[in-house]
Amino acid sequence: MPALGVRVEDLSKTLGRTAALRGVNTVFEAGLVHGIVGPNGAGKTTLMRVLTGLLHPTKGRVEYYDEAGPVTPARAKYETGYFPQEPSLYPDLSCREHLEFFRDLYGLSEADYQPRMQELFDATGMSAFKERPAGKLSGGMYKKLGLMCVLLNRPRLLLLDEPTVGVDPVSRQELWELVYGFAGQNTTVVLSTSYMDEAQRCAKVHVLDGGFLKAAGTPEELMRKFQVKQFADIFLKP
Amino acid sequence: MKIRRVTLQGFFKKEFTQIVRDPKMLFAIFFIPLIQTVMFGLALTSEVKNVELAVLAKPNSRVARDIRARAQASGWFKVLPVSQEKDPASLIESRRAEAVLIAPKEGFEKALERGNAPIQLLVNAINAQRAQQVNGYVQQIVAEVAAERGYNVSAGLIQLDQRVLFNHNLDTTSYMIPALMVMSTFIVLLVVCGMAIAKEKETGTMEKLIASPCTVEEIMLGKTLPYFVIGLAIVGLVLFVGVAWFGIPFRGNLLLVGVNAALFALSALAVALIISTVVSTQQQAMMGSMLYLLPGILLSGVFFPVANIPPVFRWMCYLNPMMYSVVNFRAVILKGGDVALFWGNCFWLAVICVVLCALAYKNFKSTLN
Repeated sequence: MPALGVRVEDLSKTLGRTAALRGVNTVFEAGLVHGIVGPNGAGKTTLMRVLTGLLHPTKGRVEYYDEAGPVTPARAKYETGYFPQEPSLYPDLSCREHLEFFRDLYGLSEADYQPRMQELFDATGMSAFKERPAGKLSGGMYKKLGLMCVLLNRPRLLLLDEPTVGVDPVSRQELWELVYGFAGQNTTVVLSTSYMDEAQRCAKVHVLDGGFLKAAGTPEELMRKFQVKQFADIFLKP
Repeated sequence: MKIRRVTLQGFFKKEFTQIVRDPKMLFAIFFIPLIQTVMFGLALTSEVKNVELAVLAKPNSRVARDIRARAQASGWFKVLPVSQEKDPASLIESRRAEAVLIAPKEGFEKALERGNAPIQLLVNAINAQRAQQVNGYVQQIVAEVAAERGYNVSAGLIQLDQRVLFNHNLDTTSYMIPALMVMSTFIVLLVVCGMAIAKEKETGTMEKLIASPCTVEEIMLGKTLPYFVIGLAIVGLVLFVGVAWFGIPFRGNLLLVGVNAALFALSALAVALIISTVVSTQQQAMMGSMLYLLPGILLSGVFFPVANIPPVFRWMCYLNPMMYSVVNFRAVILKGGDVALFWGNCFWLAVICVVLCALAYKNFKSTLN
């Protein structure tokens, strides 16, 4: 199945009295790795949650599409995988039991499940921890398990909200390899991050600040636009 | 409305696995109803027992001896080894006796011969309800002894030929256990299911479920149906303990018990769902459950007859699903069923259940959306 793209038009979202997003217009082209970058409180998580369907826009539209044309939000929800900032899992269930539970949530057949489960355990190097309860996993492994649960459905749109926060450098690298391994023709990846080095590895970066979309483009395009030599200096530019 | 069987199976498996692995949860689900059953079956009884009774009469009075023997054998009284006392009231004042039966000067025999026996009974009536029962017990014993000894005490008295139906021994346990089947199950379902949903919200796993391809209906049913099964199991457990251990009579049929249990368990789960939609943490869910349970139990007829509640408040009883379930279980178990009463109550229970479920569905859906 081809990857899903998302078009966001004039998107605003108010949470209580706070305008978290203000008239955001951008496109997340299918098949690319997109980064949403911005300081704390920029609206990254709100945008991710709107893209997931967890929040409804106060104003504006979110449209999903693939090669064949528009995709309904209901269909897109089934094809979307969301990895929240805190990937909450059930501490008393083992890794295998988590994947089995999500297999049932996704309605996967045993024939589809078995090879995918094996592939995910191999890709994450967690085969030896299949029976370990999630509550007894290290921080990095916990995040990997959260990602495995999301990837089990082979999402056509993968939304990752600050996936590497609180993860050691080795696990961070492994998470990136896992994400890049699944990105491509069949999966669009949209990730939010506060780390500029991570954002620089994305094909397209969307810069948010104070709820506004300041710019969107390849890292090189953004460096030219903001007239900085280092990508990390974008937010240092007055 | 899309509901996939495989998704519900997944929820069942997950919920039961989590319950089995959590000793506190297991304790709450099965031991609390058991403890309540044992407490109400053995300890908490409204029957008047252990009344310290002094019978004051001439030492050689045969009637006094018979009264003492019968009182002791009844199990209601502890008869004091006192037959003479200058100031009988002092026995009560000094808390040596709770009731003192005093024969007239000429003795019990003469008093009973005259028919309208001027026998005096002193009772400590600080607890008026208990005093009334003690009075009744003593009168009954005196009447029995008089009849046994051939005295005619009917002159001037109304003689009642009393027959107690459905609970021959006026046994509190038989009366309480059918109500406990409702009360214990309601408490467990409300607290445990409400907290289980609140826990998903509190730990953030609910967000994962919402973001997954699951529909609202699947999440709602997946989070409640396992507890429905648990609710039926608790009803069965309390009934089993009641019949096997406490020997309460079971005169109805299990199908009727099942119908009543299913309706009130669904109502309890709907209330739990409604509470879970307005709380964010397990602690709040617990508080919410208690806020419902306290008036819910008091206005259910478990402890106080609904007929005794003033009309101003009685309407609340009729909105309480517990009330119909308690009446139905008592009727089915002790009486063997009363078709009109049972199905009439089931009808109103079903109406309340449908309203609660609709409200829970609406709230749950809007909260998740």
